[in-house]
Amino acid sequence: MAQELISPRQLTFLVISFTIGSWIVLPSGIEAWQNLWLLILFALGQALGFVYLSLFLFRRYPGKTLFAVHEFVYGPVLGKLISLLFLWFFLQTGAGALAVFVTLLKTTVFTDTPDLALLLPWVIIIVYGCRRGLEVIARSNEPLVLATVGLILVSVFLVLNAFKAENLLPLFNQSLATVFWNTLGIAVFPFGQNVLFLMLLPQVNRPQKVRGAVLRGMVVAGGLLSLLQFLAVGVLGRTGELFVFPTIEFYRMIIIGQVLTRLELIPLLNFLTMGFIKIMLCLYTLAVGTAQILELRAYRPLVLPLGILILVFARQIYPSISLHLHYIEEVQPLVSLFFCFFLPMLTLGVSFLRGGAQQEMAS
Amino acid sequence: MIVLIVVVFIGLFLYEAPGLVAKEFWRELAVFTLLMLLGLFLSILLASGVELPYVESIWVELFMGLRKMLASGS
Repeated sequence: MAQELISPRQLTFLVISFTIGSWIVLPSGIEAWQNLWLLILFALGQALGFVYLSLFLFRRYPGKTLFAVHEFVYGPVLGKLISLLFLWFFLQTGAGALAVFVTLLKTTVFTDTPDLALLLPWVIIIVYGCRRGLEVIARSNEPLVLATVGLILVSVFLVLNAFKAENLLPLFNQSLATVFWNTLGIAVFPFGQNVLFLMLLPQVNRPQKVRGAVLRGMVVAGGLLSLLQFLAVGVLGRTGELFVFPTIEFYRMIIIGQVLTRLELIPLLNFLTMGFIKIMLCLYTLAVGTAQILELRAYRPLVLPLGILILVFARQIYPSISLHLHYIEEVQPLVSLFFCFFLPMLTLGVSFLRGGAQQEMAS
Repeated sequence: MIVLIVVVFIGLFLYEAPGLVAKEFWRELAVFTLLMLLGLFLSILLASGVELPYVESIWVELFMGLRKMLASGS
């Protein structure tokens, strides 16, 4: 397969987009609403630990994708089986983000539009982008991420007249178990899902800068999400936890001189751009991963049928948003923990046991 | 609707397959065809109104079952 290279800066931007992705409109850990902005920072710390450890895999096997490492560590059969599990994870992550996109549009803007009319154009653009390759995805992401960061930072000034510091109180009013569970939930979604980048790291042109680029991206994304939640809690108060898409509601509250009103288009735009990149990265990784498992010479022919599968799965992810919220709260932390932390750590542990360290020392 | 889906899939197949044949990418063609057939099969099922299970419902039921099992075991 032709090697497409991206720079560490582009990797940082991709990590920011992927992390912000769908979380920006549908946060996990909503149970701890008033403390959520703080929990994001705790979760970021926890996730940085996860990712730092996962990046050891890339250091031990430089130039190898996660799937190639699986085959090296577990052997071809078991390695391919574990890679297949990851393919499922990438498919579910991409389809989940696409499903949230449809739910969001249908509940806010296009209430009477059929699902397929929203899904089809979106999937066509995503398939087109993926077929152009990672370089194009990374380049198109740069202005999008800058626009998103800019819009989030501008929000600080937009909410000044609606922000009430007392809405942030009481702080630390959750039980330790709730704090722990929600922190874990946020650490794995959105931060832990960055395990996907283990498939893309060999395509960074300066491998020695990979670790810094990933961690920097996560810190920036975590800071932005925490800031956004901080503003949302300050504006909405306790009522915020009642909304399915609290970020949208908080922007809806902005009224400046009867001129700047109904700014819910801002988070919608943020999600459209960041979610777009997230789904595109999921599809790209799905295609590249499938091509690697089946030892194909090109991933491009797989993009179109896999795009169709993402579309079909997006319709079959959840029957209602309430079940999705239940899934995010109760099940997702465990499922994601398995993929984002347990499996990479198992692979790292087995690689140590199998004496992969000599290879690292030799290289 | 089903006829439309089949026509679209045939169109997509005809768009991609000749390039693969020209390059003699036989493995890629086989995987592409299989994935297209899977997509076509699932699309026809959805279009015919067949009730397919939801991914997250399966996960939720699985974890609730596990939780019950662990609770009854302890």
